[in-house]
Amino acid sequence: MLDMINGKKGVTIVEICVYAVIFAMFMGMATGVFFWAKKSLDVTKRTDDLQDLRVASTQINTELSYGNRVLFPPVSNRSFSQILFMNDRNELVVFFRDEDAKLKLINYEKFKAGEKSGERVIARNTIEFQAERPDANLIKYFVRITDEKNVEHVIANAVKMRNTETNGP
Amino acid sequence: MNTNVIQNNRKARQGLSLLEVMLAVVIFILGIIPLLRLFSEGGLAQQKVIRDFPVTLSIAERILMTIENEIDEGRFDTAMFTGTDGNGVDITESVIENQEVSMALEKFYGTDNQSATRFLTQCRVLLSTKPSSDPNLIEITIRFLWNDRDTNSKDFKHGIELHLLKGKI
Repeated sequence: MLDMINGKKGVTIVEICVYAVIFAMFMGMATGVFFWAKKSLDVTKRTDDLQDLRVASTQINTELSYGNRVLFPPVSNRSFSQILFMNDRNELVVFFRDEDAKLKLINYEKFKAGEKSGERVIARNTIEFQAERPDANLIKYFVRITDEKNVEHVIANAVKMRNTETNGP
Repeated sequence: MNTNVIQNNRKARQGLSLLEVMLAVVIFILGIIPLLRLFSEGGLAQQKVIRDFPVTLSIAERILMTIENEIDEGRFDTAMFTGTDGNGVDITESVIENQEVSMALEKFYGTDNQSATRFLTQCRVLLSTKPSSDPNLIEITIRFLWNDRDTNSKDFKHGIELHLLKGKI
């Protein structure tokens, strides 16, 4: 105010425009950083989904590899949507995809006895679960799931049955 | 009188001009943005590897389980893969011929209408066998090498190696 009273100039419109342009340029650069941060967050979420799927795969492998006998699918080159087998404690166990798109493991003995561990959700948002038994002691499977953004993830794995002496065709 | 006193005080306590403040802000932003980008982009690359790891590990496990089964069934000649130059025999084509593995790779590298042969440039599966210290065992090694989906380099940036000790039949 005093400067203006004394006849001194303040900031001209051109100067303000130049400052605004510089500010906008740097804001644009800063937005780029937020873009990368957002992308990083998306990848984290997908990583989380894939790790869940990997855990599901490990659970399938652990349960199946020491199973005593596979009851279903039969030995063939066809794919089926569930695996029915007797585990190492000779309990009836089934892997299947239910109507809510959850990949589940049901231990029939425990389920019948009302135990909580009788029913386990292995993976959510499962689009497809396919199992194939090309040989008596080998089960190949793949699980296809989607994440929140409908991006699909697939894990393809195989299990070699370890209790081969008791595992008949 | 009063106006002169105020003017003298202002000259004595002269602060920063708008230009100086703007300059400081610009220098600060110029310094901080590359650092932020470094963290975001570096973290993203790491996350991608973590994300891709379960998919490739599952495929490698699947190959190894299948080979183990083939050995048990007497359909696999380990001698064919012994004594290679240390890298192993390239079995990528036979691996990606499998529909389920191909589908897993398709989700891995994107779904934009691509043939399985495209994966040959993006990943490589090497198989090698060698005698172990125990004369009754043979060591089977699977090396799964891969590149990020945007990389066209001939050298593979990522890789996993699985070993299996198998009793001679």
